[in-house]
Amino acid sequence: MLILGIETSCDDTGVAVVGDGYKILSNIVFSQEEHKKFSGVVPEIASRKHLEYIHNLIEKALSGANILLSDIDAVGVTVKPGLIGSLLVGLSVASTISYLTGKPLIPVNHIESHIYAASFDNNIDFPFIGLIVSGGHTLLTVWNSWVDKKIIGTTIDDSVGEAFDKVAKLLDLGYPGGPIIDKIAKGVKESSVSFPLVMLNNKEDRYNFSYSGLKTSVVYYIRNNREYNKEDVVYSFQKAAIDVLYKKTVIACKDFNINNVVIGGGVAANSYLREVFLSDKKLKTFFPSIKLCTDNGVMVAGLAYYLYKNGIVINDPKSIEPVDKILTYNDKKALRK
Amino acid sequence: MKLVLSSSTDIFCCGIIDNNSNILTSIYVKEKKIQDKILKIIDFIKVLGYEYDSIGIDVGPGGFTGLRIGFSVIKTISFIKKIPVYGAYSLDLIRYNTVSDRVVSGIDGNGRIFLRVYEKENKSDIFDFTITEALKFIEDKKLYDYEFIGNAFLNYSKYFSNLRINDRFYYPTVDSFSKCLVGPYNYEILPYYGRKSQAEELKC
Repeated sequence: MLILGIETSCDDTGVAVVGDGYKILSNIVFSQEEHKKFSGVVPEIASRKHLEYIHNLIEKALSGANILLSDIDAVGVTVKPGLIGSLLVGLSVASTISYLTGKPLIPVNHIESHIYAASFDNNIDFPFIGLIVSGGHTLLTVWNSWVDKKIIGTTIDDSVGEAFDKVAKLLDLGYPGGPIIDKIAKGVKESSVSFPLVMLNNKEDRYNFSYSGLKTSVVYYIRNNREYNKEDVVYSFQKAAIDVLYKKTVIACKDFNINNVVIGGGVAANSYLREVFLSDKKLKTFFPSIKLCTDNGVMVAGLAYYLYKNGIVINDPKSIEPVDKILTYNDKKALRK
Repeated sequence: MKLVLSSSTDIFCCGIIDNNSNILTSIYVKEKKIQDKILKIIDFIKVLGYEYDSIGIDVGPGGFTGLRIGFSVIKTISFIKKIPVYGAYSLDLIRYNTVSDRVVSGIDGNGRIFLRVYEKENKSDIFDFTITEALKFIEDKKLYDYEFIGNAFLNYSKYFSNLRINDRFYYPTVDSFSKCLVGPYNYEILPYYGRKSQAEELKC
């Protein structure tokens, strides 16, 4: 079964063709460089660029897979969470393809597809603890199948990727912050600087995260230490940011008696994060390939296959509404009980 | 036959016009949410009993999101059916809702006004004004005896109360398309946003 996957939730336009949920026939991603000068994603620019490039990318994805649009069996599209304007471009294009070709339209959750990305390079057994770490999300989840997932923890303020970007901006390192910080930190063996591990030890936040405090610690440190060593700050920030992800995941693994861990999202490309999780031999940790850590159409098309097999298809497009957040205020409140 | 679509204002319209500019079918959609509007348009296109061999699209200026969503649909149809796309400015589409020779067409651009002046077959550039700038422009150019048409003059009517405003056809209509389409383009056609995003303007 061939699925065309369309991903436009943020600033990467991704289109791919995947067979039976695992065979990658093509994977085309256009990363918008325009946001760099703003040190963050500008939603209006992101939407405009998606519209500008998406049809060319679809053409490339089809020719890359050596197929025609009529050969596609279904269209998978990211519907949440993400920037509404960007999601709407992908959803409108996918809906139009679906109606013109008569092929089913499958709604895909962006964060779930990030976790699914790891399955292209690994045989993953259920159940597992899923850790989603990106510029928009920091979530702990429990998975019993590709269509049965529960969110158990989230960030109560900034996401981990956001913290990387903000600290990189603070230190004038460039955007996006994650890869730059990772690269600098790799060259440091030890640091005299230490930032707090924000564990949120209280019972109601057992699986939750917080990154605004860590970011503030960095602000105060560089304000109070004018001769600070940039490499030391970067190394210690990264360690504090990543160590808490590991420790909370281990807590969840113990509580749920699960040893399998799957990590997805842009921050899953971080080399220190990979090192920390893979060095724990009690855990069986799976990562996507580096190429599939960032947003792409492959993960959308792949997961769409399992959703389709489970009857998850958009029969009435009016029932699908793009959503910017994965958790509402009340959802977040419930996760802190 | 041509499929035409406008999504630059709060009223979306879509229809089929034949080679003699006759309207064979049309729909005007006023739903509150942009997504509901475009889905209603898609539903309309789905059940059309006509085969069309080209498309006309309102390229803007107007609401950014509406324009983008309309373009997402039209570009996809053009891409799949391999048919050409023709474009028309929203201000021109509105201008042709009236037969007057001297017309000022204005579209509400989220607190600002896109404006164009028409004198018989001549037309000005498209201006992007604040309300104060628009009022000054009208005064400086002595446009008081022109007919003013478009949602900008209705949405900000308290500022334009002394003008001769046409309040009937203040949105692009299917009827006007045949008078102002230019092209053809392929599916690479893009909206005329008329201005940069707010973030870009701040950066500049």
